[in-house]
Amino acid sequence: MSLKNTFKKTWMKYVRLWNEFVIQVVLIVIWFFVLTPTAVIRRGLLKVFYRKQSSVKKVKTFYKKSDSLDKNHFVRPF
Amino acid sequence: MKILGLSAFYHDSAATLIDKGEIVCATQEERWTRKKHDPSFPIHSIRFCLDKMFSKEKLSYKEALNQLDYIVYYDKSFLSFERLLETYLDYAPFKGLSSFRESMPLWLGKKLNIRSTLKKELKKHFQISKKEMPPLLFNYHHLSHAASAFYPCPYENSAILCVDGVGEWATSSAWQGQGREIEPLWQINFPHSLGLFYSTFTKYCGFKVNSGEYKLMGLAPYGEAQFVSLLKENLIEIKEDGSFQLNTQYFEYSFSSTRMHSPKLEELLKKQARKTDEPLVKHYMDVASSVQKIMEETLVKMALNLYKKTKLKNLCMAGGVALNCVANEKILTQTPFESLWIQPAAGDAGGSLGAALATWHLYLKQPRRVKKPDAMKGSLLGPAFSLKKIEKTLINVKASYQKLNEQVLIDKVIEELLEGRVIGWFQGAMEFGPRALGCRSILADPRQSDMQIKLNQKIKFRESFRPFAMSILEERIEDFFESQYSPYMLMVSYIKPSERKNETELLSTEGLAKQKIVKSSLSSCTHADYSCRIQTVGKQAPVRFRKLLEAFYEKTNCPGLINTSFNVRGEPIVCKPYEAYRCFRNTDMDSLILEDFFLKKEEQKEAFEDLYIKQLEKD
Repeated sequence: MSLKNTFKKTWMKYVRLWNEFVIQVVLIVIWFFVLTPTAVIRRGLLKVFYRKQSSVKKVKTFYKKSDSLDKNHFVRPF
Repeated sequence: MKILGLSAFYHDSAATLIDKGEIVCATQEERWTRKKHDPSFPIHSIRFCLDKMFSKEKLSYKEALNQLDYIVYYDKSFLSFERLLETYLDYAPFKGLSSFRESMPLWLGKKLNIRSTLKKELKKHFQISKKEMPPLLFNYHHLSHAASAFYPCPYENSAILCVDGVGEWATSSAWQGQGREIEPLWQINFPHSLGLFYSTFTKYCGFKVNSGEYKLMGLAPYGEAQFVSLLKENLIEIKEDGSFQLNTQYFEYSFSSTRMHSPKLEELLKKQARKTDEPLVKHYMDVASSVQKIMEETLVKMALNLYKKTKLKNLCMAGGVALNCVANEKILTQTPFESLWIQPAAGDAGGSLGAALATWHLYLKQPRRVKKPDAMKGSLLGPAFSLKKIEKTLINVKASYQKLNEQVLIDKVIEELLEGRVIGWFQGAMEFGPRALGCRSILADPRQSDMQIKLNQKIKFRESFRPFAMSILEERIEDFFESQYSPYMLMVSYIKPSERKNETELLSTEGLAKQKIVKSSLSSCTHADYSCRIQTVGKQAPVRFRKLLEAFYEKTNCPGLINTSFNVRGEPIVCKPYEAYRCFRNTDMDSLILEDFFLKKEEQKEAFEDLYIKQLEKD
């Protein structure tokens, strides 16, 4: 009985490890084959359609001192 | 109409129950699971809320849950997920992969479909079918904060400022509260976050993120703010209207799960980040001081902008940054706002309260009745324990104790305090929020100059520089301090010039050596800049605690006591009598008061085996 239990426990442990491995592989595939191309296309589109630039994109260029003082960074998304 | 508010899965899980708009109870999960800032599903907190609400009806948890009209979660997970994905899209393919691999399984498995996760958890713990469950609602993160600040506050109309790390997209938001309505004014979005800016330097100085921020605040007065212009030129641009933008080249929190700052920051400051056990040298104190100054400047400008927009004389605040009591004092003294009210559970735990109140007033359109001094019931919303239960615990642990009546007990405590002994004080309902307000407190005489070191090293086992707060009789505050009203210990006040000592010596001393200088007659809780975090104890405060302060004042002419939370480093505030006893036995605390029971350390003859402190993770 206890041998059976030990075997079951070990088996379950390896199943879990295998599942985690598969998930990680899938995530890496998504990163390189879905997210990366999307990101590249998105960056291209953002260059063309500047107005649709997301707030995350804005951070890439640090605000310049020469910009007018009354320009602020508040947004009203509501 | 009963509404249960929940916050969970980020940090500081909590549950709050309101009935017809009135707060019945609220508690944080960490107090039950004994894991600091516990983010898990707040099952213990929910059970406590249901017990408290339906104690007379003697319902099972399943039946009690069925009696609720709504369950509200404090955040919209789809918006947070959108932020996460947009951030990854912005950094792919070269940065963010490891964070993506780490966070996605958690998000896809649990956090994204939060409705299903909540239902599964409720079903698992209460055997309630999905059909029997009360309707689930979801509130915006910052709206939850704003509601937690405005609805319990004592003002009919008020400006509302919420500043935290990040919630969905927002990192700072401003609102106007009028009657039962809350109107949004503006918000600043991720990654430009004042909270995360502060957390980055918390990590840089060797403290833990989401936990050690108050250490950075405590360290600041030991240093000089010599990096302010360097940081403002390179890291953060603060506009006159209080809006700000961070230079993300110096920060990695957007795409890294382990690092807050980039190597560029270390290059700029010409020193590596401090490791937790390294000594605290002056450089880190100067950094802390500079960051604190920047934080104060930004918050003051934000508040000024808010005043200009609303023209209201009242301000209320919530969000983790609102726990920065030094900045709070600056907001009150440097802006035209006449009064400031801060939600005592300003962090994410308070989100559960805000979510429930927002449902009542905004979703169900119920009117709001303003209560004086506020609707928080002193923030004493947690569990209390009967004398019978406490005595049972004491018998179980074979403790030696005496049961005393109130007057004898108070006299005895005063006697102990005058002998320089440290008291564990456990009374009534536990506080909701991070501050001990006289119900789960460690108390000591503030006039004894070595008390700060004794408390830090032998009782709390924490860094020696950490300051202590003081609970002081509200009507006597002006004897020592430049007056401030601070019932929830969320404001500092400065020692009056006439009460200050050794000013020249203090000016010529650098770093932690300032600690050894006697700065006032309340030396153990006077910080290096003559500030002191205070709790003003008024007529609404816990009765026995106020009586104790009055008796101490009568005896000594000193109207206050050191009041620090009843825990040690890395431990949540004690909740149950056993935890208080365990803390008492594991530290150099001299006496313990559990309601009417009085315990002296030297009278405890039985050995005590629970050495839990060794297992605590240092924060």
